[in-house]
Amino acid sequence: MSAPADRVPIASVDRTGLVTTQDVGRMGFTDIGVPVSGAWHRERHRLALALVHGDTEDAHSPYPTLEILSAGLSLTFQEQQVIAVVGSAEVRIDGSDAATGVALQIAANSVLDIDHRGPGPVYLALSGWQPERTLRSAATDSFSRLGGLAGDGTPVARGQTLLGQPDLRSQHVGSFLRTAKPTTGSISIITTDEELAERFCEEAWRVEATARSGVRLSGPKMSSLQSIASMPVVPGAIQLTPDGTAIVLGPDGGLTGGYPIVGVVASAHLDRIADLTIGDNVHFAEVDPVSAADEFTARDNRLVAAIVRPDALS
Amino acid sequence: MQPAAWFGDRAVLVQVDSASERESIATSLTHQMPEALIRRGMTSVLIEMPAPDPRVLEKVEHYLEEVDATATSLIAHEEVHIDVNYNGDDLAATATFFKVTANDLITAHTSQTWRVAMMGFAPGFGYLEPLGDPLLAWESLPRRGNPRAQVPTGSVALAAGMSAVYPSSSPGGWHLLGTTTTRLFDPRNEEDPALLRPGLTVRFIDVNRARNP
Repeated sequence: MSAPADRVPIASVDRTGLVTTQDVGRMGFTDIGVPVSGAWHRERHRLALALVHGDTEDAHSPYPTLEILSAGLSLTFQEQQVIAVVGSAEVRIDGSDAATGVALQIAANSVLDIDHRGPGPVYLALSGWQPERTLRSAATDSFSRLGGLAGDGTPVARGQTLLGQPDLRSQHVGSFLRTAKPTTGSISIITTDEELAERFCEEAWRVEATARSGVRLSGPKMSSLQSIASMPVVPGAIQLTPDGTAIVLGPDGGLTGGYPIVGVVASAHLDRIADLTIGDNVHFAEVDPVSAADEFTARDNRLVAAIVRPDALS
Repeated sequence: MQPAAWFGDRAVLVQVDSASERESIATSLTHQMPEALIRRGMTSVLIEMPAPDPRVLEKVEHYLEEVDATATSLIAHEEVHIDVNYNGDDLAATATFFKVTANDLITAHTSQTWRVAMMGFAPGFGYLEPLGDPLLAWESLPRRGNPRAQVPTGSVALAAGMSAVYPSSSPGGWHLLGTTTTRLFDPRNEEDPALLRPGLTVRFIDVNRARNP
């Protein structure tokens, strides 16, 4: 693990649900068996960072967030910070309701409470936080047991301290997000097996379980294949298991798979997998890779326009 | 080789017919497409871009035409030696499976040259395939019927025609021949965290035999 030397305690963890440190991921080590991992819902992660740091354009921002998947998080601050919460949550500062999707100033000795509502991950960005990095990334990868505050892939625990700088970045306070219309309808996939995919897209799939390793869906039994030669996989790849379930791999789904793959979720729709909740019914639709790439670029451009700066209003 | 095919909107998968084809394609594309991440499967090569790229299939098809089938990576000429204490819990049973003595099994495992076919499962975990003629019928040995919940760090193992070393303790279904104290993965070493790399050749050395020639 590595981190800047002159860090001071900026906040301590009083209460935590399933919360991990994340960033854009651990780049450049996939060939030696280290997955990228990183924030599950890329858009919310980027927007939370853009609110406190101000750089929407940089998709490869090195800054970290705390990813809240269940229950919530309470922090007591030792230093003043600018913070932003993005996602569906109830937020209180010293017991008073506070908003999501806006850069807020929080004073030393204040208490921040976040209760996860969902669906999907909620992100907290702090302006001065500088977490430990493992292989150049703060991403917590429970599968590979890398990263996070302890460096071993374990989630945030009560009693831990966030270290960093008493960084105010007060020029960003008051920046907020334009409310975006949530995308609905079927989830686009690029198919890898035409015959399987045709049937896969006709059916409704029910969400049975969800985790950063993958989302398990039940539906008709699609494949009788037990296993195939180990092959590389990517987040969003949809595996068909012999017991009739489909698994959409998540950021901690590993690098290799041994089950037949029906397709891969389009990059522009990958965040929607993170928002699936047990009991949801999902439909998939085939998209060609060129249209999928266009949709990704268009969505990226919309993201830049989603942030309103306080100086833009004057 | 089968035609290259899309694998999502930012990756292309090439199914290969042989290990040597996999090596020449992976080696060549690694040089031709420095912006891509190249990963090997047992019978496939994945070419992955950092973001969706509508032209990646065209690019891969173009470079596949230029692959020199005789090309080997520079790394293929490097050999890593791993010292093994052949004290594994499955050594005797595995020898019995191959109908040889434990000593014969150790001799075959240390005389065989292995190559890192692909990496994955865990950071630094290499799937080692026999290079040249197999000295025992490695492929005939299936995985254990009941996988162990915890295989210790440094376990040297065998299954399904391949050998491997567990870089950290994890669940595992391979047969344990011995242990090594050689470190296979160190996340504190940002420049070079893994001992193994795809394409590298590996030899196992029997520490007991080295001490008592």
